[in-house]
Amino acid sequence: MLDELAETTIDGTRKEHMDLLVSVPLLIIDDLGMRKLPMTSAEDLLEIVMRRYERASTLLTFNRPVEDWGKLLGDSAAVTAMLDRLLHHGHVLKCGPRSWRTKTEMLPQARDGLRAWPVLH
Amino acid sequence: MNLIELDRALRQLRLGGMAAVIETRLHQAQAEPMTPIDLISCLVSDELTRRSQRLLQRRQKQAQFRDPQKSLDSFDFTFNKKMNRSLVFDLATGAFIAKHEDALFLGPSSRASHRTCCHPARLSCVVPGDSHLAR
Repeated sequence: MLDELAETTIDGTRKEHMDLLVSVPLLIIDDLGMRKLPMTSAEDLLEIVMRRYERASTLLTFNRPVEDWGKLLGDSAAVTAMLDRLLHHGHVLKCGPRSWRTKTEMLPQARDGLRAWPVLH
Repeated sequence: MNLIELDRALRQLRLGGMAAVIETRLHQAQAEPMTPIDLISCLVSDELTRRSQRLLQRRQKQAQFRDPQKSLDSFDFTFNKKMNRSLVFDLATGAFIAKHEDALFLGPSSRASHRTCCHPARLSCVVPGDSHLAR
């Protein structure tokens, strides 16, 4: 999403794209922080969050603790302002600590382990 | 106007929901005593049902859910016992969307967060407006 937004700045369609992002009743930003973000990420995210604040819901999933956001987005002031708004009427759900992916990976191993167990007669 | 012409005319008027069921409804009207107003009411409600289903499908497609068929019904809460189950279900009602509140899902379990966040998103698809999933 942030990459697309950065591209729209170049091709001159940023306003239309931003209008869509700020007007939908529920915006889900999934897996933020999974890869390197563009330089303008903090500013763009702050603008989205500010314009949606108390007007529409934003749901954000982030795989890093809140303390790391400033370092990852590269702008502590923008992150503080963004978190201030998100947490004001926000619901914080802590997912984990274990990853569900490891659960599905563990199952076949556990099954193989059972098969390999020697049968006693 | 015979049935084929009627079907064509209904589709021309963009009343595909009515066109799809008109034959069945006419049989029903003949089989059981049905007043004209009841027959028309049935046809209109068929059209409305079909339109709302189409709208829901379109919004779900636009939302680009990774696992659209997955829901919280089959979700294993015992794997991460510390996860706030009541908050998950509160959020899944979608009430926070009407109140313009935000939600933050933190942690490594993206599958859990994705499924949890898609639940209210699916609900938001049935209210006016659209949901938008961005990655």
